[in-house]
Amino acid sequence: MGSGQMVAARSIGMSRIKAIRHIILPQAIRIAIPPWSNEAATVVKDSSLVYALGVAEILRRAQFVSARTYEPFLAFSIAALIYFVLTFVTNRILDKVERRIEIPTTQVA
Amino acid sequence: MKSVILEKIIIEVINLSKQYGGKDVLKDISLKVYEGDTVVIIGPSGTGKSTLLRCINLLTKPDSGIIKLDDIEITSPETNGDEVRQHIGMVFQDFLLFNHLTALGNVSIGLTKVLGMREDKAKEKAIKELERVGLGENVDQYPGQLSGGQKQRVAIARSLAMDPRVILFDEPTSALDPELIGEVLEVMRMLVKEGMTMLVVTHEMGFAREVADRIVFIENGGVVEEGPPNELFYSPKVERTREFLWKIAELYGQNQERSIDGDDQ
Repeated sequence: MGSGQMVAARSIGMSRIKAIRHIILPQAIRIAIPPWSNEAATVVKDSSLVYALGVAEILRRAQFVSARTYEPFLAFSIAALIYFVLTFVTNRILDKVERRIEIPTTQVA
Repeated sequence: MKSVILEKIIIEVINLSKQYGGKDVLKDISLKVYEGDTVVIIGPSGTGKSTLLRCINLLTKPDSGIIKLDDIEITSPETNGDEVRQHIGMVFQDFLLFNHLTALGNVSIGLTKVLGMREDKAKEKAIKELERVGLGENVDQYPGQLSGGQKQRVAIARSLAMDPRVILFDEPTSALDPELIGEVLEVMRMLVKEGMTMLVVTHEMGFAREVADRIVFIENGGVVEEGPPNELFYSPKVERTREFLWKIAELYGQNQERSIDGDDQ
């Protein structure tokens, strides 16, 4: 976002805080959502790293279950499915949000 | 609209100076804009014209000097800059519309968020201002859906909505395709007729000659010469003014011819 948006907002008498709230943030959020969407998927998947700290997350739990049931394939498949559902749903939701707040344009950027 | 006897000064700039990185951008510049007047500032690029406007609007802090709006010193430290800017409209070269808002939103947001006007009242006024600049049909369009000329007219409506004491125009047609310049100048001519006080930086000499009450030629941060258009264009006192106008005429030659033709109609 160019600094011009802030200048324009100030030029009609907005305070810096109002300008950020009404002009800068609404546009910044729109710019930020697509990368967020990727980030969200990465964060869900990287959650397995907390295993290193001894926290039992999805993958670790799957390991426990497979150790008990001797059905590693089923346990890890379900873990994979949970990962998939989590990332898929988050991405879909953020996609929807992105489309809903998209600014209409006829210009070819 | 203009009283000859008792003209009120809207903007007064007294000995304003501004340096950027050791270079004098404005040197001891003084300027008066009377109520209802259109003052056009001309001059080569990088000679402090834009800086002067930004100082008047308190978007840039001058190093020294005084600026008065309606006889009140706005450069004093106690001044609330946000409040001053409500009364000084500004139109930028690159429009600077709020991209996430419709034309209507762009015009009404100052009314609701700065002046605290009720939504419906603000909408009503915003529509009126957009109709005034000939965009009654485009209220629901976003900047990305408008042409450059339409964008600039929305920007003008945005400043008009605040009922400013004066509007500053910073090269309002410089970023426009030639065929779109006319519609913006037309709106500005209308404002001149309505008695709006305006301070305009532009290279549109035809427009300047036609509507300006006074033209100020600025170079290297100082006023070289100022006066009524006829004086400055046809019998400039300073050689440098003649030289500059000649250069501009050569550069925009055909454009100027067209403007002159327009005057005759």
